[in-house]
Order: sequence, then structure tokens, then C-alpha cells
Amino acid sequence: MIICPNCSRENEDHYKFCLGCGTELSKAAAPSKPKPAPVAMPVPTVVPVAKATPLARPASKVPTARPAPTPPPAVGPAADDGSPTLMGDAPSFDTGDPPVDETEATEPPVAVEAEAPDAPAPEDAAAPAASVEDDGIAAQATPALVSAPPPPVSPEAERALLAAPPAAPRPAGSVDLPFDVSMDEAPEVPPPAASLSDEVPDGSIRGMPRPQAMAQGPGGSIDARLCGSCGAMVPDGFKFCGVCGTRYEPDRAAPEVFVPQVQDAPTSVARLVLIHPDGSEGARFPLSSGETTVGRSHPASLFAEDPFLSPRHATFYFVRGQLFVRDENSLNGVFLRIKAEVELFHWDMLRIGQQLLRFEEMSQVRPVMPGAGDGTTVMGSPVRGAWGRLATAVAIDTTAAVWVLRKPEEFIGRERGDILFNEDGFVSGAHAKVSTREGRYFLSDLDSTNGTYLRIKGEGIVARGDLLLLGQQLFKVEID
Amino acid sequence: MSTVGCSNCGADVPVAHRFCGKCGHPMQGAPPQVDAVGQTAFFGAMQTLGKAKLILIRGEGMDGVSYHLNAAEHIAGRKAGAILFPEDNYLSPRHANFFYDGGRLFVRDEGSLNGIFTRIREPASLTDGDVFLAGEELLRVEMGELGGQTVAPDHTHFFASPRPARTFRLTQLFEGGRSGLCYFVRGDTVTVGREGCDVNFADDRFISGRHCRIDFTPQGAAITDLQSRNGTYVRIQGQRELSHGDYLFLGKQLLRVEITTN
Repeated sequence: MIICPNCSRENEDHYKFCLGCGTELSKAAAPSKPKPAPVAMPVPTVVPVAKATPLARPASKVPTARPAPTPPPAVGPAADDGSPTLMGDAPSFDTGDPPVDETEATEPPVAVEAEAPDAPAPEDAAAPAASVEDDGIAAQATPALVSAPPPPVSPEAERALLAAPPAAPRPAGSVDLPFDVSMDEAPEVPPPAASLSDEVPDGSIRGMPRPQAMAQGPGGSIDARLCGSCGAMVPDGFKFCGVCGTRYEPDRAAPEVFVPQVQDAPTSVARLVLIHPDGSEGARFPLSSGETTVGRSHPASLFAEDPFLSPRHATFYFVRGQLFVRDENSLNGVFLRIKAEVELFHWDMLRIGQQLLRFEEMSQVRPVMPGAGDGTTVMGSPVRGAWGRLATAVAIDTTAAVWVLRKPEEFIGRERGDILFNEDGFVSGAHAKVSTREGRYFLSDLDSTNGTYLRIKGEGIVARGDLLLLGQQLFKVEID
Repeated sequence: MSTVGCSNCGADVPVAHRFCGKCGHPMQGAPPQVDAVGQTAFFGAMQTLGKAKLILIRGEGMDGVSYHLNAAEHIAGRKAGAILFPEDNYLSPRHANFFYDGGRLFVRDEGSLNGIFTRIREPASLTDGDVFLAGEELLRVEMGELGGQTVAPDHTHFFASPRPARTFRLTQLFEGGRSGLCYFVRGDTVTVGREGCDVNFADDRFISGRHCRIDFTPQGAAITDLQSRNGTYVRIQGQRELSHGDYLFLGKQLLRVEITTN
């Protein structure tokens, strides 16, 4: 640990800047663990890694440096264990900014030299994660880093990979592996020592967008959120992202209860698995047998940087073994991907592709043109059997395009149908259908790629395998 | 029915009148005078006899009836005036006024609920909020910013559909006052018709395949009729001069203007 001379906060050894105040940390203090992983790629498959050994580092880093190609920041779940561990290369400070310089300076001394020798070995460079057992440790490396190596990797190797993401010289195009940090998986983390090995300080690092680093909350608490800038895990209470330096609002309430408590393991029988934009799975969040509230600022939220989540967004809870989710009057709601046909009611909200749509039963639509009160009927187009409207919501209580539903079945799609979203690449050619029969209204998905989501009103049952959208986060529900 | 033919000269005489306004012949079976709302300034205002008349084209069983505009002004409405359509609930009690000014015929909206629509003969300019009729469809042209709040008081951002690139749009207005479809124009032009257009009304028997087009510019919009069978009508603002051959809608009543003398 490095004690910040400015604010006295404890920082991970490899941090170059204090997470609490942003002050540059002297390396001297730094104990062990430099940036780990990047180094040797455990996996042979790894690309053309540069020479192995010490040198390797540089090489590997370089690749990493690649601009931010990688998309989804992996989410790190929390790890917890008392020790502040980080998984994977946590500390990448090298993000291009200011920190960079320092970084270099710092790093070299620290990690590199000392450990350089070991270089090769370390695959595990990864985290020394203290947390060994299955805590919910997550190690997250950057997704990108993690790309899957083709050949079968030994478990260890995998870990290593996870741990040492940076290194991955993943050839372009490679897909990132999703890794989750779920408790389940969290295998033992490789010894920290390893990580030390190859740190090459070269400047190459700079500029590389580091994916997230996982940080553990001090005290072992897992509370953390994801940096909105680089996706790294930022322990709750920290004012700056340890990876990229992005500043957070100071007033974050201390988390009270935390969801992903590892310790909770025994009682948690379900979890939310984050699904990355590329479809891969990310962090897993255990749902305890009690209530688990998620949100932007509520009890230890991991998603403080998702502005689309309300401070207290939704609560998951069990009733006689059945998992339920309750929308805490959030602004954007909780959307459940529909499986079979569902009934639609006036003012139901749907998410299809990038669209937020509102279904309105025609008989309940309120007039926009007032009458005169003198017996005169407001003139207009004949309604001709129209039974509903579908409106695109572009702001709170503001709609843009509106379609009139008139035929018994109206189809929604990007290329085919009655209601077209030609410019929305997330909408399938033929995506969903809204229909009416016997005075009732229904919605069904037409085997679309990305699904059709219906906002849960109040609360609803959640089943194994269900997909939920909260803010920008997509989760899959796992229930034991 | 608001008029009956004079048995002597054939002129159209309002049902409540006891004498033909043209020849003075007593009307048979004239109902007792109804105290219509507003004044009936028909009698004694015949000095410009036969200058112009309105011919009812589509009038719920009264097709062909004509109204001679022989007075200085003529009120049309559901309950008041010389031109009465008591059974058309789309007309305000006092709806429009046909009057002469400087020898020219004008029509003025008397603050009616549904307005007066005139058929366009050439491209007509439109401003934000203007409405027009194409077939049976009543559409409103809107050009203003959409606005809308996207951030809640607790700083949560609203997850919404992407905003349309342009703010030009057409909103359908249903009878009864609800709004129907809302189409956002992608380029600078939008066509309306029954099929093959940007906005299609497949079930409208009165709209042509390609009925009209609206062109948007930063300064406003202009609507052009695409030689549709039934024409495109734009709601007038205030008053407008009428010419021979003009068509106008008052409620469900379609009238043709004939100016017989100048």
C-alpha cells in the first residue's frame, strides 16, 4: 500500500496517482506489484508477441496500447477480500493524459526493474489477488485483453490472461473474452508476485486506453462503480479513477449495503450477469436472499457512471423462492425481454433496437384539439378503426414519430413491416408485432436478434435466463 | 335543409323566410320564424343581386343548391346566418362571413372551431401550425423544435429514441380532436397520397395516389397539389379573397364560388 502524502488514503502499490485526491504517488512507496500482466502472455497463442521475457513487455504493451479499440470495458465485479487486490493490470495509468509522464517515471523504477527478471514466469502476473477464494472477485481485465486464445488454455492460463490483459496482443479482430468475475469463477488468483515480472516501463504504454482495472475497495469492501470514462472499477469513495484519472463527484454517499457481497455467497442463489455490447458476459452480481437494490447512487452502486440509472433504480427480492424485481419509480424503468406474446396496455413502454416506444390505446388517447363547448364537433381525419398508436419517445413526455395502428396486426422492423426504423441497425428486418383481438392488445417478438423489451410496471417476476435492461446495462438473470 | 326553391322564380329561399327574397312571392308552408342566433341581414340587402353565388357540391343530400350572395355580407353557420347548415355539427353556430369589399368577394373565418379551407390552385405557403386537407385527411404542418425534458431533477438522463434529424413533420388530426400519425420529414420534401408516397393513407377513398407535396425551407413551407382528383385544401387564416371557381370547405360542406358579374 502506498499512503498518499496528501490525503492519507491507502492506494494500491502500483497506483501512480492517489485515488482519493489525485496526488501523484511516489514510487518509492510502492511495494510490489507493478503492472502485471501485460507482460508475458501466458498464452502462447498470443500473437506475435515480441520477444519473450523482459522485452516482451514492451512488446506486449505496445499492442495494448492500441487505441481504444476495445469496446466494452469489462466490468469487474467486485472482488473482495480484505486485501486490496487488483486484478489484472489494474493500474494502468497510462492513459494518455497527464498521468502518463509520471507513469513512466514511476513505473520503471517500481515494477520493472525489480521484477523484470522474472518476466517469463508470471503469467499470473495477474493479480496477486488476495482474494483467493471465490469471492466475488472479479478480475477483470480489459475485455480486449482477454481475447480468447484459440488453443485451449489451461485454467491457469486463463487466469493469467485475465489477470494480465494488457499484454494481449490480440490480433485485430479478435474478440474479447468475457470474463466474469463472478464468485463462482473466481478461482484462485495467481500470486501477485508473478505480476511483478515484466514491467517494462517503456513509454509505449501511454496512450493506451486501459481497460478497466479492478480495484478493490479498501477494507475489502467490494463497493465500487465503473469509471464512465475507461470502464475501470473505482472503489466507492474514491474521487478519481485510478486508471484514467477521471474525477467523480465528491458527494457519493457511502454505500450502505452492497449487493455483490462475496460473503453473501451462501445465501445468494441468483445473480445478474452483465452482458456486454458484443454479447459476451461480464461481471456477475450476486442477489442475496434479502433485497438487493441497484441504482446510480443507492447502496454501493457499481454503475454510478450510468446516467440513465436513477439513484435508486430497482430492487430484486425473493418471495418464496421466486425472484421479483421492483421498479423504484425509476426514470427509465426496468425492461424485460419478452419471450412469448404479452398483452399490451395503454401507455406501455417498449424498447426495440435503440427505440423507446409507447403504446397507446386509441380510446384512451386524449384529444389535443379542444372543442368549443358549443356543440361543434372537432373535424379531422376519420379514425377508421384505428385501435392504437405507437409513439417514439424522445424526451420525458415528448414524442416524435407516431404510427397509427389500424390493421389487426401491425409489424415493426427495419426493412419489412408497417412501422419501419430504417436507420436503426439494432432493429431486425422484421422485429416485432403488435396486434389486437377481442378488444385486447398484444406484443410479440419475431425472433429478432436483439429482442423486444417491455417495461415492467411496478414489479414483476423474473425467471432464469431472463434479460433485463436497466439504464444502459443489460443483464441476464441466473438463478440456481 | 336550409333553403327551399321559390315556386315562382326558383330562387333559393331560406326555409325560415316567408317571402322569396328575389321576387317577393309568398313562400308556401314557411315555418314560423325561428329566432336564429345572430342577425339575419338577408332581407333588404339585395342591391347587388346576382353578383356571386355559392354552389353546394357536397352537402349531405343538398347537392346543387346555390346561395346567391346578394347582400353586403352573408353569415354561414349551423345556427345563424343566411347560409344555414343546421345538421352539420362540424360548423360552428356562426362560422363564416362572405362579404364584399370594394366590389370583391371575401370570406372571413368568424372564429369557428374547424375553420374554412380553400382549395389551392398553385403552391401555397404554410407556416408552423397550418393545417390542410388531402382527401379525408386533416394534417397539420409543424416546424418548431420538439423540445422536451431529457434530464430528471435527480440528474438521471432519460433513455429515449434518437431524435429525428429534422423537425419538419406532419401530424394527422382525427375527428374528435385526437392526433394520429406523426411523420418526420427526412429530407426537405414530403409527399402525401394513397400509395407510394412518404405518407400514405391506403384506406382513404378520396385521396389520390400522389396527392400533394410539401417542400420545407428554413423560411417556411409550401404545399403543392399534385393534380389530385379532389384537390388540396388549406385552412385560411382570418380572411381571404375569393375568385370565380374557388372551392371551399365549411365543415362537411363543399362549396364552389361563382362570380357572375364583376
